[in-house]
Amino acid sequence: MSAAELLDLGSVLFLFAAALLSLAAGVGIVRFPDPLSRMHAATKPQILGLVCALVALGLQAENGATVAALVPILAFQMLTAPISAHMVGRAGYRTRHLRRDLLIRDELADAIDKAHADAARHDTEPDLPGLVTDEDTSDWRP
Amino acid sequence: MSGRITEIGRWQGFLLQLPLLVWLVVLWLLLWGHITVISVLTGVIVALVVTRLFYLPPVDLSGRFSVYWGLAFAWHFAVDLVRASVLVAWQAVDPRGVPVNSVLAVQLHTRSDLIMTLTAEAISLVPGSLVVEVDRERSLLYVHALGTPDDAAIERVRHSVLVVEERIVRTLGSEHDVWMINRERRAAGRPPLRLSARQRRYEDAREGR
Amino acid sequence: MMLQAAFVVVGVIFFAAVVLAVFRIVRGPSILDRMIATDMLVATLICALAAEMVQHEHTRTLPVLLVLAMTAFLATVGVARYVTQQDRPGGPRAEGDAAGTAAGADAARDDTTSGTAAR
Repeated sequence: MSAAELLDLGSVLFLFAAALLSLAAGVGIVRFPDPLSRMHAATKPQILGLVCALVALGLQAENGATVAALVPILAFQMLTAPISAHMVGRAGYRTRHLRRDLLIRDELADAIDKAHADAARHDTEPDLPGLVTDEDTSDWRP
Repeated sequence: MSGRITEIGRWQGFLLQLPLLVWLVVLWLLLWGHITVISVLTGVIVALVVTRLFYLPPVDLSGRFSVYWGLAFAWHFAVDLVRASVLVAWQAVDPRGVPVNSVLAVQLHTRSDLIMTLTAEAISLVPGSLVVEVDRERSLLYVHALGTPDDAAIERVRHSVLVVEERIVRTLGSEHDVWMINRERRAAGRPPLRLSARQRRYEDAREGR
Repeated sequence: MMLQAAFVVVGVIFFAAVVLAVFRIVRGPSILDRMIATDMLVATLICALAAEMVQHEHTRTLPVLLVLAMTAFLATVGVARYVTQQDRPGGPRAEGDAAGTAAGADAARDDTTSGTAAR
């Protein structure tokens, strides 16, 4: 088997991995019961799947310039994926889009309840868990 | 006199911005895919213009950077990424039903915005954990974790977040951050991180030994 | 020949993933579910484009990958912000439908003003 064939085989294997991760994410996104769980499923092809696909491309690259072009793709994806994940997660939690019966522990709700209880006792504004100074949270409960 | 102080301040500000500028130029070169005099020059110009036009508060770098721990962090991150991806892929198709989740508050040691941000990014990039809220004042991360059927699993997630923070602090944390982690390790009866002479002097001074 | 068959299989798996994502986009039920599925769709698309480049041995769509990786999160962040704002009293929904299109811009402005006004 020649070196080129080995590289081809390697590329195909990495592409298989990327495809299977995407498929598992698809299954997860359909099967999981609430948005936050689905979010976890969706992050797989975003990072590891992308890494696999880019490695497959890199194995076929004929010069350094192509490999160099792959680095910013991964860099941007790794910088931006957590931003959208966090924003969706935060919005999902705040707008009660998650199934609380599936949470066996919720320390954020505990912290919010405690802040409200303290505020009621001392008759002050609730000192909510830092959440956000940029939005009105005085009436915010999970 | 005051002119001299602002001169020094400006020079320090430039030095603190230097990593950002270098990263922007490298990104520019990667986008072009070749290194010539023209592309480097335009890269420097674009980086300067961008940092002037879209001015952000400068990031507080500690001035420490450990290449060894940076590589160790990257390696552990890659291992975590693969393991967690396979695990979540399995949970997605697990015929026994869907996983039970939890939201847990993780108390970080650091007060640094940069380390908190990097920790939150690393946690969110790994499938199975997601930062839903951040309490900046108290250095708390609220992490939504997938597949935590019992208390032991919850504590494992909490521990893994703290381990990620520890690796990042070892890479680029300030002396104060390292001290905070060492204090907790000593309190828990574990050996502290290997100390440099400078770090030991700092900790001795802080603890009044 | 074997390899070409393997590429076909990879393509079919990607297609199945895309169908599942589209199913979630159609079904919803909330807009967040749709955005998550859209995110996943874009990620799958990036991987599939890479697979196509490997199969046909070219690099012409690399810039497309780059732009998708850079900008895919913007829509999600916008929608997430909008949903969070909508939940508040005085958010876009309370202001009525007329404010619908301007709500995004309002939300962004709110950010800088309401925090200081509340103190």
